[in-house]
Amino acid sequence: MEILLPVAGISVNLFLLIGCGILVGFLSGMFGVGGGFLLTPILIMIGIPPTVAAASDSCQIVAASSSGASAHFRLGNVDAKLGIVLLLGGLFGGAIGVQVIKVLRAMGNADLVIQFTYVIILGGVGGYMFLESLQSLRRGSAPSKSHRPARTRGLLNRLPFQMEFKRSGVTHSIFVPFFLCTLVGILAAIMGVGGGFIMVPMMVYLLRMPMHVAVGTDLFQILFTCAGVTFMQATTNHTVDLVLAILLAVGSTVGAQIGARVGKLLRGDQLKILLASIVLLVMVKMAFSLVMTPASLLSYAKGH
Amino acid sequence: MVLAAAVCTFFLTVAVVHAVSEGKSDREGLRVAPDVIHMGTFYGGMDVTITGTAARGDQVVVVIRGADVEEVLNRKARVGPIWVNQGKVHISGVPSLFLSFSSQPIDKILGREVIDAHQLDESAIRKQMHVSPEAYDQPVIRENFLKMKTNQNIYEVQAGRLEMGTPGPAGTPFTVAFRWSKKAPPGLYTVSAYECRDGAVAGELKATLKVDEVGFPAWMAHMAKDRAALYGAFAVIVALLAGLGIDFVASRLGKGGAVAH
Repeated sequence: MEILLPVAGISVNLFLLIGCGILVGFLSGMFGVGGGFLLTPILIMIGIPPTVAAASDSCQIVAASSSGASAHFRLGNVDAKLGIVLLLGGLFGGAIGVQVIKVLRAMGNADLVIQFTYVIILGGVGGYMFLESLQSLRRGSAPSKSHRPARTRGLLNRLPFQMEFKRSGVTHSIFVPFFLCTLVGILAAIMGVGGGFIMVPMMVYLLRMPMHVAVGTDLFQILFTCAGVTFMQATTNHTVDLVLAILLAVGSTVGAQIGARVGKLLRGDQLKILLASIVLLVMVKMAFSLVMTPASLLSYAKGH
Repeated sequence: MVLAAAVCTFFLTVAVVHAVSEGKSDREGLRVAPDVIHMGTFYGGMDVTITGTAARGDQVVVVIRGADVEEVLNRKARVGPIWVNQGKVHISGVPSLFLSFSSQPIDKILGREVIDAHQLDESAIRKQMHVSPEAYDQPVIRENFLKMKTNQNIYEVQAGRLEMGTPGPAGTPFTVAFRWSKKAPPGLYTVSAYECRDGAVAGELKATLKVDEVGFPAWMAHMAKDRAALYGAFAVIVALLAGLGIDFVASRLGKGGAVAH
């Protein structure tokens, strides 16, 4: 059954779109990642113009993350207070990242930097998470609450504006999550993605948040980020296809619900090793695409 | 006086013969069915048939072209062992869609110069396209562009697909039936039938094929373009409500025992 996408101007199989949504929504609900790094390339592969794919993807993430965040909220996994701090840090970092991209583009080597950043960040985050989770699984117990050296912990505790984040069970200076999220925001802007797959590991390993709360809180902040991006894309580039977004959203919200429940059935370290495997797979694919001769030397300009 | 009458009679005869031959061409001109394709909500492409009549013994090439466009693409280049996007390529003077159907392989019925002059195959498009910056490897860029369009079924050349009928007093009827790609965007397309004789184009028949969005898709496309702020806010609210609505339904189902919280 075909359906015409009004802004993309092409017809696509209805069930194919919903199926793509379910797959990506499942990952979103389970791991708290937005899924943009997976869905946009899939949409381009099925013939959606890249600019429409990227913009409509942001719109569907609003639906998927609102569904996922709502489910996690009921499960007690959303730390709204910390989420707002993370959101502000992410937005600030994103603004800096956009300027970094501008400078790199002017220098003519932005794409090389972006692709290398992808491989290094994905490899580093995925590799560390994979090994740590593997050790934890072998030990048969969850990792200890904190591995941070006492000296560093003391230093961080002396920072001003200490704040207790009850839901996450941690106390940090407000500058710590803000600064870390600024870094993630810079990377996310450079890499052109929402940043969930960096944000969740960062919350778990650096902010010492429980995995499930990290996932719920990440979905909470992704909701606001993508709502802003959707509005800007619609008003600036006119590339948001609402029909495409809603079909993907129908699939992804259902997938997110399933993902959130399956995620609840798994232990934190099991979730981590699964996410690590996906991140590593994407990294390996990107590393291969860097060295293998491409099928075509031309591709549609996606832009940031 | 007699001379003047003779000259008048001659020109009158020529004019009548010309008018009759023109009338014949009009009467049996190129027909595209349907000549307007409406893209509604559940549009999935359309079967299109092009028919006409060519002079006896002529071969025919039918070409459907979209308007010329300029495309901006990423160009991949090797930096050491790594392939990266390195710069943008501007390609202009190329049709947004190009479909060519012929009764025989085009290079067997027309000379290369004629094919290029009328832009009847991919080789002709390769020559007419303009690639900038000029410093780039032009043949490689042109070849890759054509390959990309062919893979998307936006450019297609099919020799032998067009069927010639039994010659009659009015000429030889020809038909080509094909599936209009669901990926072809809305627009006005030019349909041309070239009558080929002795390696040259002896005549050309023209028609148009209009593809437009109607109903809900047209309304949405209009909103997205002309009322962007309203559309953007609407998109965010609809997405938010869709997510919360599905979560509400899922939570009700969960309470029913389907899924434990």
